[in-house]
Amino acid sequence: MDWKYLLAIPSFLVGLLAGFQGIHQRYDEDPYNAALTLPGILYLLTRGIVPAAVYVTLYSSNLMPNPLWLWSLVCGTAGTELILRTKIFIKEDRSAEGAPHELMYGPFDLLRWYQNLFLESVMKHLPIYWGRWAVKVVGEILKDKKMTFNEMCEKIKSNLHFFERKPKLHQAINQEADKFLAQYDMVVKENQMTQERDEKLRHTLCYRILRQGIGESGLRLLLS
Amino acid sequence: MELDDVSRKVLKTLAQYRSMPFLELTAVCDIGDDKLERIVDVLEGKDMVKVSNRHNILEEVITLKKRGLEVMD
Repeated sequence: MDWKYLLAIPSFLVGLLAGFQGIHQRYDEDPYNAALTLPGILYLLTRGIVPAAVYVTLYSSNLMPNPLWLWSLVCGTAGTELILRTKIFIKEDRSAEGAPHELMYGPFDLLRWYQNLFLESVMKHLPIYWGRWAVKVVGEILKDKKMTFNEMCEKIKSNLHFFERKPKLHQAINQEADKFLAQYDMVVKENQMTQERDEKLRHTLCYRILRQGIGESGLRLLLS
Repeated sequence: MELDDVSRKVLKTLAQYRSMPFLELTAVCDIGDDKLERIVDVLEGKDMVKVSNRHNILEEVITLKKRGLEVMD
């Protein structure tokens, strides 16, 4: 085996560190635990593998100059960054005010999308960020659903059969829905129901359902 | 540290979950919005909790800080 392939390790480590910087920026209150979640680990590994693969490809094609250790580090930092920050002109676009601007995309936009894909899902694994994640998820789901609290409960009840194979979850969701329906009925009886109260009840019930560990897709399914 | 029973209940709930949407906290602690807002203000003043998105009750999030956690230990 050619031991010089092992010099891909510095590239890998530098890429990994760059990935950790991204995690640290977003989860500054708990960066180490964020890095140790499943999406965090996957993200860091892929951030390390890309520069390592660049090194291995260039070395095996005899395109890597000496000293190899230095170029291995360059692959992990400047080289990969340079490629990622390249922008390609797509077209000239106009803003709302009519001012022309160039529409450009590059690998960095792809990286940002990729980073968001992983790092957004880290949030739900960290108790300290769970509240922010729940608010974001519920806000996005309810934004598209124009329904009253009563209609929402009917929908939840009619879709509960999707969770029949998980009796504990099924029961917990049903109990939460019944609890909030009882509150709703009381407020309606007192003739104090307003649109604002209805909205609060919808959000609160969604938070409580999410807390059962149903996940974003589960909540979407319940409200579909 | 001097804290009333309701504030302790709020802190205890937060110690369990660490971070919660404000509305969820009202439901779990069974406290009205206004009362909880006052309690949260006091706890924030004592550096025990952090409040995010305060301007919008639907998006408001309460997070327990280290000091709040220490009080509950």
